[in-house]
Amino acid sequence: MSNIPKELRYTKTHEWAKNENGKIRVGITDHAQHEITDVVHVELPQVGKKSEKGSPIAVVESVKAAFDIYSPVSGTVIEINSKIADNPELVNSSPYSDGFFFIIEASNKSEFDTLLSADEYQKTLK
Amino acid sequence: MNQTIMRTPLYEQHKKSNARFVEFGGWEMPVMYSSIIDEHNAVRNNCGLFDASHMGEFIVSGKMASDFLNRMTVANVPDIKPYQAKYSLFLNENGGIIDDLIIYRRENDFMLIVNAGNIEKDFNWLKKNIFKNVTLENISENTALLALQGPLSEKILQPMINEDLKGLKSFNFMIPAFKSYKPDFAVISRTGYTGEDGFEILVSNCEAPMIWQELVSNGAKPCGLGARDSLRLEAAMSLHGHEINDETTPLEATLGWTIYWEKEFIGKKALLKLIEKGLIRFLTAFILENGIAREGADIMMNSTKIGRVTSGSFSPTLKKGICLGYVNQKLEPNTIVEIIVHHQPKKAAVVKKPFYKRKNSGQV
Repeated sequence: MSNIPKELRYTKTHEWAKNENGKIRVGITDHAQHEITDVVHVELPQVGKKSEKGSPIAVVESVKAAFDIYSPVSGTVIEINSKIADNPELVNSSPYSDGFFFIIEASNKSEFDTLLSADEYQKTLK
Repeated sequence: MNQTIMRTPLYEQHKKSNARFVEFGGWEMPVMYSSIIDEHNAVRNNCGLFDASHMGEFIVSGKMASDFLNRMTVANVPDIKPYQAKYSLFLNENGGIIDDLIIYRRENDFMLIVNAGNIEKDFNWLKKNIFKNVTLENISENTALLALQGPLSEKILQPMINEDLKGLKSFNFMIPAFKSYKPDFAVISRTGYTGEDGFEILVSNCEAPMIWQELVSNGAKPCGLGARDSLRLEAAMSLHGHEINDETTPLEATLGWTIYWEKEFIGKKALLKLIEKGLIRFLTAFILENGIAREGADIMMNSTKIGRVTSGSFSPTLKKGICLGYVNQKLEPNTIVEIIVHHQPKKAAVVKKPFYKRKNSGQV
């Protein structure tokens, strides 16, 4: 069974989002890392990049294929996790912590509330 | 092509080992069991086991079988000795590669192993050009193919058969006597598609699951198509539908070494013409500084497109993105090009093929 922490919000495209006072930390779910397996490369956005909710903003690559990562909210990237550039396997081993992708300063705070709850995300996996 | 999805005699074994399946050329095949990197490394360092039962096998027999295959392939067929195997190609009249295959010369006839997706096409092509006194038989449905690959392969297979595997040289084969099974049909060849030492075990369907199980019990790790692809790419072996297809010739694909010119064969005229005119495409190997180029990515030089990637992946051995692709000029090793990955140019260096070569490797 995948680990789906209750305190996070989710997208149908398997990103998780954590609200830290309007700053949204983003990664991919345990389910997603398990499906992708063997993350070998992550293409991160640059700090300062503006993003729209639902638009592609990063790429995660396994041996087999590349997968787009979509921005869960609109805003500006204010921090990226450069640790995963050197150690992409962190996305597999620690998807909710050391393997996070980036932090976005949300431009529209209400967007976060429209994301899926843990229970709702769980249902999309069936 | 058959609409129903096909399964190999080893399907239940794969399911028991928690395989993730993928559709490949009409077959439901395991893409991986644990992880592609685990399986890849098992083959490089220990021993891996692949189900290649989806591939096709033909028997070509009759008085004129050797002459027939000599016309249909680029190999010097009369020169192949019994119990030898040879990598070869079927070409069309334009010199394009219909398929790549392995020719096995048995005591009294030949066996051909062809790619899964091309079975029907190849068989029809042979039938269309058949000689008098030659018989063609497609035995694909009755046979399973297990590929045992990696430095420990010999040690793992040896206890199961009576013959001494040490004496079996690369690209030779034998009819084994298994200690515990009596299959109607069995061939063990010292061949593979991973760049490692290893064996391909061709056996009647019925015994395949037991042999698979015993090889796994002896220490072989089940491996899926994912690792098969990353291993063959590190070894820079061409894959039909990618580096080679009906429109690419062996000269462009750097498979000229497979051609025996002192004979007539289908496609020869076109190849000679191409040599006269000069090649315009060259299959080339690249290592990326960072990022992973995939099939279809543009290869650029001085802001001009010079080619296209045919296969690209992450190399678990080199821990870099590697790829093969066609470019419109001959590039020397260390030449730097740019490959477009996710809309961004990434630096890549031309390297000599293969990307990976095992130590003490014999004939390939």
